[in-house]
Formats: sequence, structure tokens, C-alpha cells
Amino acid sequence: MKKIILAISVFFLGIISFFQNTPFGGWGASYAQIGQPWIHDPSTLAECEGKWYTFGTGGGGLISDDGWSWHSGAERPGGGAAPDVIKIGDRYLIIYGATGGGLGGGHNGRILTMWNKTLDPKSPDFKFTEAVEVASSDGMEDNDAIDPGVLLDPTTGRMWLSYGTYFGNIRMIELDPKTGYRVKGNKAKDVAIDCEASDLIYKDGYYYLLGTHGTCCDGVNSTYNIVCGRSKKVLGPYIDNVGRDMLAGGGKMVINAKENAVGAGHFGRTVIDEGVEVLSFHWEADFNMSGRSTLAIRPLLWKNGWPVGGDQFKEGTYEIESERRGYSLELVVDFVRMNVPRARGGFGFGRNNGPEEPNKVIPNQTLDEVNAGWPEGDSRVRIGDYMFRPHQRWTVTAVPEAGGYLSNPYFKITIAGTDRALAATADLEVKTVAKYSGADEQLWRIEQLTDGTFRIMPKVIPGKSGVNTTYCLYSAGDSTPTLEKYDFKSDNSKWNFKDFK
Amino acid sequence: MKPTLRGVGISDARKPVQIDRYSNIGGKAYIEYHDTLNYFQGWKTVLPKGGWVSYNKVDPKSQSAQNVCLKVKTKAATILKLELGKYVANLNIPSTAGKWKEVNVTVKTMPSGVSDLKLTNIGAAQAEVDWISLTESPREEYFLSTLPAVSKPDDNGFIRRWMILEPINKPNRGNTVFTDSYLREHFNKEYFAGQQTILPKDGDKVTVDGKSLTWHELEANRYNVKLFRFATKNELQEYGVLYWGVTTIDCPQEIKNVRLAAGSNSASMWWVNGQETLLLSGDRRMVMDDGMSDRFTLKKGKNIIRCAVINGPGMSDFCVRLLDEKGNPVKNYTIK
Repeated sequence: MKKIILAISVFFLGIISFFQNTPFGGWGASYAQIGQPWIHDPSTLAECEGKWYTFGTGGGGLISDDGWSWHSGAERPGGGAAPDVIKIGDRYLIIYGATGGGLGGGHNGRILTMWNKTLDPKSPDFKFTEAVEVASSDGMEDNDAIDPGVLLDPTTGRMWLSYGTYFGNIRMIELDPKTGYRVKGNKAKDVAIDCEASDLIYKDGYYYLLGTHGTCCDGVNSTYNIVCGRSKKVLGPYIDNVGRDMLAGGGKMVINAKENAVGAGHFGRTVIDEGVEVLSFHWEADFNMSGRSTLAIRPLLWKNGWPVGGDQFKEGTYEIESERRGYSLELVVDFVRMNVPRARGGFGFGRNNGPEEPNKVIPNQTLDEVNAGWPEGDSRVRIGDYMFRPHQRWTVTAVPEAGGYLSNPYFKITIAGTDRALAATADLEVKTVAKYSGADEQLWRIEQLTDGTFRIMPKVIPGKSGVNTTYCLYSAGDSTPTLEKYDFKSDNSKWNFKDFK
Repeated sequence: MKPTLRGVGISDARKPVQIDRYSNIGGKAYIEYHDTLNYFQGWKTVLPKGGWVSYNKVDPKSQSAQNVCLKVKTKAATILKLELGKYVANLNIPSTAGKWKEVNVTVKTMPSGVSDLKLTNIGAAQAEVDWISLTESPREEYFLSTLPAVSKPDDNGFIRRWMILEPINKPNRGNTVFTDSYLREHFNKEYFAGQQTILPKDGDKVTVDGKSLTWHELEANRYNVKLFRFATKNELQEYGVLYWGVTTIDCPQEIKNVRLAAGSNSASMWWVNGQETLLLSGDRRMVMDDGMSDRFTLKKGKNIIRCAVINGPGMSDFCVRLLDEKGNPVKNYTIK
């Protein structure tokens, strides 16, 4: 009977993979956000009244209720190209290039800023202030004033804007965060060449200047990619990993083509929680979405002080290993010994293998060999020595109909080959239920952290209202999992998904 | 033919404001052709002592505009009074010895926003003005105005001194065509006689497709040679171009295991002493040390470096230096 279930699942997986080729294919298929995430030159993501927004070239933008499924509907007057957005106090400042740029065209660029109390076009408060010009280029100088990227410096409260294209230099100016105007008397400073779509971020004592290199706007042949340099001072010099100034074309790769999509451009960073960061950008062409230009959101990792665009978490069968001890999450069942005599190659005790006897592969223990004594109903989980046994193999499967969050859809986590699913309990513990029912406490949010480990959170805690964004799967002891408040500073909050082999 | 007057709208004062298209004029000031034999050279404003010209509605588009640039011709020093509404600055204009020259004058911060501009000659000598612009800083220069007799690589080893041929017309709407095989075909074509052998002098000419093109000796004032600015400065074709460059370096001793390190916008090919040493293909932006040649031996005495740089719609430039076997810049040679 179990084999039949397995065969049926394989059949359905086949159907899912068939739909990989359609733009609206389920997850497992699409490695970008779902819905209709069509956009070019997206701004950094902004959150407003529980919804996510990003603005693109041309005037409109995208809205998402959960960060995973996106649709058009955001509104921005003024047209032009490549806006950025930042929330300051209780208002949003939108910054955009009023012109289009492009090397063949003119280079009389203008950058404008305007405020709005809300990003929701349906809100009665939705009203933009009159746009003011903060930078412009005269068409002759080595700069084209489009493609703004903004940073509110967390150490000083000052606001900086970088802008420019391949037509000359990337420049930086200072804006007044109270007004959105250029700081009086501020002179522009050149900080990079060879870039478009620059952006600024700050982390742990360094300022990072992100720029997009390569060829834009060439569909599946676009080589657009995002690189960066860093500096201890906001006005640079921005130096790459081999000591090269970005004014000499330097830049260390952050993200380029991967996962069947090409042309990563227009970096934006969103910090969800301490140690939980994503980068948002567009693919010039997502091969899984007819080659359209799409919004993409990926974990942002930090390695040796450099930002690295991570991969999207993929469905599969894994060991779920605690960062605390390195033990693995397992069902509480009897450890079933494998009945294989100990081999002896001319030493010690056990079965004597002659020196000429060829090596044989010992088959792994199977589910059928061990599950006879497994509990029928709910059962607890613990953390134990990893022996790649059936009670330690977890299949992680996306549940697209359950929605998602910025980086992924929700997942169910089941013992491989069964419907037994990991679930949160009302008293903040974890258990498995015999059969996955689709209940919210059986759905899990999986996010890769900046250090490469993962946090695993139940979508809801039974008895608590709303989506859980506080409690995660947590090592109470080396052997004891529980739910506890997420703490990036503690390895108890962190897990690794290791391929089951 | 009468000169065009002011017209409507606000003029971006960072760009040359052609004050011969005046709003008003007086004090015996007048306009005339730059060249009465070639009307296409346009008009200039002649300001004798006491002469003035006004031009309404200019905007320096900055809150920190502190530089006035004028293209002027004088035979003796004079003073031009600049008025922008109530703002006044006296501009000391040196003698340009009767030649057109761009003169930059630093002034106190000019008013931001739209003003009416008036220029009055309050000095003793006559001044002729082609245009005026109001900027934050003097417009960037890309090349030395006076070339030293002999050059050396700069502190980081970059070769700034070159003989550059005016761009050959090579239309390409995009740069993605620059595959290795396209470049081998098009860089190895003969465009002019002696392409791989001649050592031209400044002002020498070659003929390409029936068009006479001139070699220009130049030295960049920065590590990279901005060919795009060579074109804009000399009013040459900017996009869809093929550049040829050559320079000769003189080494006091043989150096083994040297690499040529180059970056270019867009694709380029490099030859040392007639041997192809490096090809940078594709739609490429100029990056320092982007590509490296195989190791080669730099001869004692003269070594000739040639390059070809091709571009569609890009800001052509290149940077090149020689690195020793430890990766340090080679600097003990001269460039002529």
C-alpha cells in the first residue's frame, strides 16, 4: 500500500514538473516569486500596513500580501525609470529618475523625490507631495542622473543617494531626511565607474556600494550581474576583494545568473530580523517564466564581510541537523539495529573478510523494515545521532496554496515516505501528527540566515492569533527540540538541511 | 541671415549658454560671425569697454555653483562683471593672446534657480565671448594640454601617452556582436596601409574607406585613456567606432615574464612587437587588470604596443599597464 502511495506521489510530482514550463506553474517549478511578478528595475522592497511594495520603471509597481505572491497595482506618478523607496518615520520617500537613460539617448538626467503617507493606492491618505529635483546631469558631463539608490546611515542619521549609469560615473549626494531635498551646498562625489542601478547599504562598520555590471535589456542573453565594493567611509573609496577601487571598475560578485534565470540587476536589501536578510532584484529573463523580467528575492548571506546572494531553498529529503550539537531531528521511536555482521579485514573481531573479497554496498535501512512498531497517532520528536535511518529522513515539500513569505512558500515537513508531519503544539513544543492535514501549525517557514544556517518557524502556534514570526524550532538541549523565541546569537535557533544520501 | 534670438524657455546654465542669442544688448556691444568665410562656425559676442549683453532665464541647477567658464578671446586682461539678478561677481579674464580659450573663474556661490544673466565689460580691453557656463566646478579635462617631451608610466604603471587615430566609422547598434570570431575578423582586416608597422607622428594622416583620418598624440591626465572624450573634444564620431592606438616604450634592460594587463570599453585587441598578446571580447566595460596576456619578454630598447578598440553605443576607453612576474607594475622605462 505504501508503495502505491509513493507511486501516486511520483505521478503528481511528474505533473508538477510538467507545469514547470508554464508561467503560472506551481512552486518547485518557479524559482522566482509567484503570481505575476513582472517588473523591470525594481526598487528596494517597502512594507506598508502589512503589505509589501516595489516600484519599477515606467510608473507602476507590484504589491504582495505575503511577500511571495506578487501582482501589479502599486502606483507611482512621474514615469521615468528605476525608482527607490525608503520609509522615514511614518512617511515614504520615493526617489526616481525622470528620464530613461540609455547610451544611445540623451543624458540630461533628473532625479526627483516625493513623499507619501502610505503606499496603498486605495488608502484615503494616498497622496504624493510635489516632486522636487535633487540631482541632474547636463548631458555633457560624465554622469547620467538616473537609477537612484538610497541609504539612511544608521550611525549618523544622514541620508545618502547614489545614482548614475554606464555613461560616466556613479555619484553620491546627500539628502535631508526631514525634507527629501538635497542638503544645501552639497557637492556630488564620484564613487564608481562601470555601473548602473547602484545602491548603498551599511553593515558592521562598512558601507557597501552595490552596482549592476554587464549587459541589460537583452532577454535571455543579458549578462547583468550585481557586484560590490566596501568602505569604512560613506563617500568611499569603495574597494573590492582584490583591493581595486570601484572607480577603476572593481567589484566583487554578489549575484549573477543561476537557477535557470539570467540578468540579476537592481539590488535591494531587506532586513527581516537580526541575521535574516534578503536581497531583491530583477531577473532580466526567467527561463521558467517565458523569459520575462521578474522580481526575485533570495537570502542574503554574509561571508567574511562580503554580501553573497544565496540560493532559493529547494524541496527535497534532508537530514535536519542542529547547529547546536550537530545531531539530527528524529522521530521518537525505537532505534532498530541493522542486522549486518561487523566486517573484519584481517583485524579485530567479527566476520572475516578475505583480502580478495570485493567490497559490497550495504543497502540502507528502509522504512518498511522499521515502521511496524511506530506509533499510530501523534508522536514526539527529539534530536539524536545522525545515522541516516528512516526516522531521521525528512521530506520538505512546498505547499503553494498556503501562501508564503519573502523568500519562499510555506512547506510541510514529513518523515520520508509517509504523511507523518512535523507540527507545533499550543504549549510551544513540537510533535508529529500521523497524517498531514494542511493545518497551519503543520506549515513551516524556512529561511536561510546570513551565516548560511536556517531558521525553521511554524506558520502559527495553536491558540495564538496571527502568523507566527517569533518562535522557531529550537534546541532546548542537545537532544531536545522545542519552540522558543528566535535569537540569531544562539546556535539553538539554527539548523542545517543536509542532503540525505 | 540674422542670428537667432533668445527664444523661449529656461537655459541649463551648466551647458554653454550662447549669449549671442541675447535678450538685450548695449554699450556698443555687438555680435558677429566667428568666421565670415564659414558661417557654420556660428556667432560670437564682442564686448568692447563698457559693452554689455543680457540673457534672461538661466539656471545653474545647483545650490553650490561656484565656477564660471567662458570661451573667450582677448588681447589683454580685462574684467567682466557677471550679474545674476542681484548677484554680482567680477571675473578677471587674462589675456588669451588673441586665441579662443576656455577660462574658468571661481566665484562665490551663485544663486540657485532661475536668474537673468548680464555680462558687462568693466575692464580696459575688448573681450570676445563665444559662450558662458555656470557650474559647480571646472568641467573635467581628460588629456594634458601640454605634452612632456618624454613620458613615463604613472605610479601604478599605466601607460598614458599614446598616438591615437581618429575613429574609423564602424556602425554597430549593440556590443553583443563582439564575439571572438567577429573580433578576429574585424581587427585583422586592413583598414589603412601599414596598420601593423607604421609609427605615426602627430598630425600624420591615413586614408580609410576614402576618408582621411589624423593621428593625434595625447597623454591622459588619469590612468585610463578616455577615447570617448577624445572624440567629443575633437567633435568626432562618438559611437559605432573603431580606434587604433600605438605607443613605443624604451626599456633600459630586458625583462622576462612580463604580462600586459588591460581593460577596455568595449572589446579590444593588443599587440606587442607585432605579436597578438591579448583579446578582450564581448560587451565589456573598462576594468583595471581585466585581462592579462601570457607572459612575454620585454626587449631591451624599443618595444611597440598597438591596440584596437571597438565600440557600438559605449563610452570608449582603455587602461593598460605591464606587470612583472610578481604582479607589480613595471615602471622603469620611458614612453615616446
